[in-house]
Amino acid sequence: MTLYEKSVAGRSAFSFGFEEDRAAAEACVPEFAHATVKPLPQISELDLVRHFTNLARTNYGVDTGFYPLGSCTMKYNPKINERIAADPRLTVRHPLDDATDNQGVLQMEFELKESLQEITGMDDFTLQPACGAHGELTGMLIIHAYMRDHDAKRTKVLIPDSAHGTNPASASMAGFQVVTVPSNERGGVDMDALDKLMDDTVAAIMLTNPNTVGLFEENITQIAELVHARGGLLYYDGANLNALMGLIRPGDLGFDVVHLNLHKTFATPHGGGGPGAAPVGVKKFLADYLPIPVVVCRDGQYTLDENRPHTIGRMSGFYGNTAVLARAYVYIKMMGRDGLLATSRAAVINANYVKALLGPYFPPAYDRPVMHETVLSAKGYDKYGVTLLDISKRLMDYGYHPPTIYFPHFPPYAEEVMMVEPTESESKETMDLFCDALIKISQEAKENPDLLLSAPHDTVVTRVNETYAARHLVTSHRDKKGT
Amino acid sequence: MQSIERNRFSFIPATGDEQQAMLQKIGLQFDDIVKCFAGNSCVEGGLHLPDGLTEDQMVEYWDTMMSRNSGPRKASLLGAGAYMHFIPAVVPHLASLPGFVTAYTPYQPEISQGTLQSLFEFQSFMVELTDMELANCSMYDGASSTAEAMLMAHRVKKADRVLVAATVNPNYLATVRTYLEPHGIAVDVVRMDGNGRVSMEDLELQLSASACSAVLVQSPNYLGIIEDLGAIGTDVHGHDALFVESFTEAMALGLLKYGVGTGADVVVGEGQSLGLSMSFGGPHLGVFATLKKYNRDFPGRIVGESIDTKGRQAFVMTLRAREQDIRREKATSNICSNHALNALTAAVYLGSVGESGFRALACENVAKLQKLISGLEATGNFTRVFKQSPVFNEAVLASSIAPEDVRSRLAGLPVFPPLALARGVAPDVQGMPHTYLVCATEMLKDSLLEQVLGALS
Amino acid sequence: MKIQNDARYAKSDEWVRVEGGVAFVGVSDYAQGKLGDVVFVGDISVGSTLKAGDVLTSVESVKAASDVYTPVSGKVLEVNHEVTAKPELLNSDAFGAGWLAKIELSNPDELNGLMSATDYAEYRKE
Repeated sequence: MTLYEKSVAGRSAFSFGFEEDRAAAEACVPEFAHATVKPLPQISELDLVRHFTNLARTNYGVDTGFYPLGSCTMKYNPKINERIAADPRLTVRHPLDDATDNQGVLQMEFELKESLQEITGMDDFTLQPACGAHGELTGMLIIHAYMRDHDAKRTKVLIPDSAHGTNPASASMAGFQVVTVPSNERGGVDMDALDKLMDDTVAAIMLTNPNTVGLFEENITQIAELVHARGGLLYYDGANLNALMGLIRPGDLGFDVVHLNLHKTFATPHGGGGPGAAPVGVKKFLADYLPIPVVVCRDGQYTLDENRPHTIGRMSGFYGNTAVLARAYVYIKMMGRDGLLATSRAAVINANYVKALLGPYFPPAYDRPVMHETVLSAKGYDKYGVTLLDISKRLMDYGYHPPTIYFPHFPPYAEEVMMVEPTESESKETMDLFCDALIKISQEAKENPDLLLSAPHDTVVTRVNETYAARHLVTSHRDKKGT
Repeated sequence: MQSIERNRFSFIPATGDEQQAMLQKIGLQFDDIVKCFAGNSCVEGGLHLPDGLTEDQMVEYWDTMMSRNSGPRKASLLGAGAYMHFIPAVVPHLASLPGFVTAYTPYQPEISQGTLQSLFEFQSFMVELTDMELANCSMYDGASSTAEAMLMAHRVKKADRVLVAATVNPNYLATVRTYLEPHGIAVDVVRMDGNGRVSMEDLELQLSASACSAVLVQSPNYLGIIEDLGAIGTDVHGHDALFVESFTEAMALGLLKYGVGTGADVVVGEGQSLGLSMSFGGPHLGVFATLKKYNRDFPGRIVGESIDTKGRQAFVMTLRAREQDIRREKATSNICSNHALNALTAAVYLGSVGESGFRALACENVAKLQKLISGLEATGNFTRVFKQSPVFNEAVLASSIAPEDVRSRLAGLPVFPPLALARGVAPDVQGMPHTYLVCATEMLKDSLLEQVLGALS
Repeated sequence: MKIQNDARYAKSDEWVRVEGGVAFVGVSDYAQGKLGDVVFVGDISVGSTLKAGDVLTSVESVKAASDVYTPVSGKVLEVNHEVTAKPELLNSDAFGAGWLAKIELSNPDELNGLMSATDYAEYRKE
């Protein structure tokens, strides 16, 4: 039942000391006021609390259990980050208030910028983008503006077939034509194909490294040399940075533009889909194109600098998701140099461990050590009439969130692959128990496939009908009243 | 490669022994696993970052840093896109429940009903408050939402031109320009009239000049003035363009008319006023609402109601074929993550204030501004500009007092001082060369209001 | 996999069948199986002139979206409004009630360049 369905006329959860005359206020704007009160719930505070408390209990989060979603980096969200981000001295700040009154906030943002520069090997950063896709759009707009000024015939962007869907969508939104580069049998970029495609109409190549199948792009230095030699730029999708911190830096590998996902690598919570934050880093020659304003420090004073002669403009109303930046800032400061290295090291060991345990039952897509995530195939189970979707729904009965399924989509594994990313947050016991459960399910697939086909059984709702939702579109309470 | 023996990081549970056991099962040493790095430039000697801090050290460092902000603040005379409102205790309490906070995007609906239902409820509230037919479950903020609305209009109408009212928030206009630039879509500005509103004359002129895909008008506009959306909507539809209404102050939704009744095709804006702190500009909440006829064209995620195998009410993300993971370069937008937790927060807020509470709050804002304006005019140092035009909770006032002086007079009070507008934004007033955009919300209690008037006398 | 013997097929899984001098166009049973439950069929403008290979419309399921390409050139005479209202017809009767458009052929020789039912069945054999 929704809040509207629980409403009773006359109930209220609100307590506020109004001081002014409501009728007089209504009379101020008669021709623009909505004639009637717009319908919202009328509910008591206890009912409101029970409503959302019980809804929260039906949700599975990192705090609930193992969440091995490949490429999402569902690591632990430290509670000290939450406490600090809720600090009223931060939350009360108005963005348009004078910089002299916001030295503390600006210092935090500047120090964060410097840390990210060091971690990635880039020269400057914008903290404005709100999430990965927004960061990609920002980075690609920077490249688009640069090419408009230097070589306007470069209208194409090369993107591997394994790339996350946001990559081509962002490139397209930034005004580019997308050209797909196939992967080779080792899971990396096909160098012969790249050689043929990389010409003087290509502005850039977008790469994720490790890529979306959890493999380090072995030829990255050659790719960078080739693309640069022919006048193109390299864009780094930082979704998988959790494998590399303290070991290798995208800036040193030749990337010109980088975006990071603070809600992945830097432990800020996912919140059911956001908010996140995706700072974008650039090499010096692109710094003038960054969106404004940029946090700078002059003579110990922090300010918001709008003097970027070639700025692409603004990507949002203000400066970025400050409360999210604060969480990442605290995480980086608490991990420090050694902690970040230990994080990536543990993430890589954990992924290879899970691959070793599950490999005999779900063959790895590639016969190579992986980075922070592993791609495993469920193709053999279709002979029992069972798909990867069924396996993932059955995992819920064992109390787990399934790994990422049906991504990436590309041959030779086509659709039946899952991406498992344990992260460094998980203990050996947790991983052992999870793998035991998956192995048990692989047995059930052979012996009792119906258990999988009818799964999940133990969740608050059973398999939800997506076709029904699309064919009988109800996206609001008003829609329901209408039908 | 370095080896890390000690395990003093509480966020990494694996001990050195456990990692050795795992490596044995893997059958490789760590250096073998990262052999693939060879031939590329690796980090030598560790990152140049300080040692990590413990939790208590972090709190101390943070305290010292935050003491460099001014404060405290109980009310804000500064609006212009971010607003200080009362947030009931129940709102952060429910919005911080770990089931909501630590969950991922609800791709597996059976274990994400909490997120999905909350977002459905948010969508329901947005449909009612904007008076439209469908709303998505959030975008990043008002500015980027607005830019996406313009791109949608271009997809639908195809004309390479849009009109934007001069009275739209300048950061929103800048964002629209940034998003539209690579597509060669011209952004033409419709002039302001002498009353601080969109000039109907210039609108008609520009609409007749050549085809355009959309007309964007903000109400209340950047100067706090309520635009005549109905009249504008009629004019726009006479010229086959999409009418996009935007707002920066969601509290206005509690009182003012928007949407279908005024001829809107899209209503977009900033939901920060719905239970979210200003937090130095983010994260805020993008609202996007439109008509059912655009249900294949709009960006962002949307939640639909459905059933499970037992016929029980269940929620699921729907209309997914528009999105980037399926459509890739042909998607309606690249948006993936949104601001779901903030949408949930807004849903809790609206459930808490309720329908009469929300309307009453909106009226309180109107009344507080009127009281502040009267008081400021009575000091003799201020006068209202654009007197004929109706306002909500912000207005432009001209003053004889210069901005540095306003700031120093208010320095002892727990209020954010008003925005000093650049010269030329509002018409000159004899003897009062400085103009301010002054905001008043329900937070400006009478006692504090009196102190503000005292300081500015 | 159902197959319509008197239809010709494109490599992109569309079929065409000539009846009373007019060409009926649709997507094959194989294609609807790959798509899953169809939830939406996009608009097609009557009277538009298309070349073989042009996008005719797009079709959506819950997990995929596909462009449908016309296998023949000509003018669109009629659109199947039943399938727009009930997209599930495309799943249940891809060759019959699930037809998408009637086209007046401008170049009937194109039919020879398309696959026969036997060839298509071989091409899509799993």
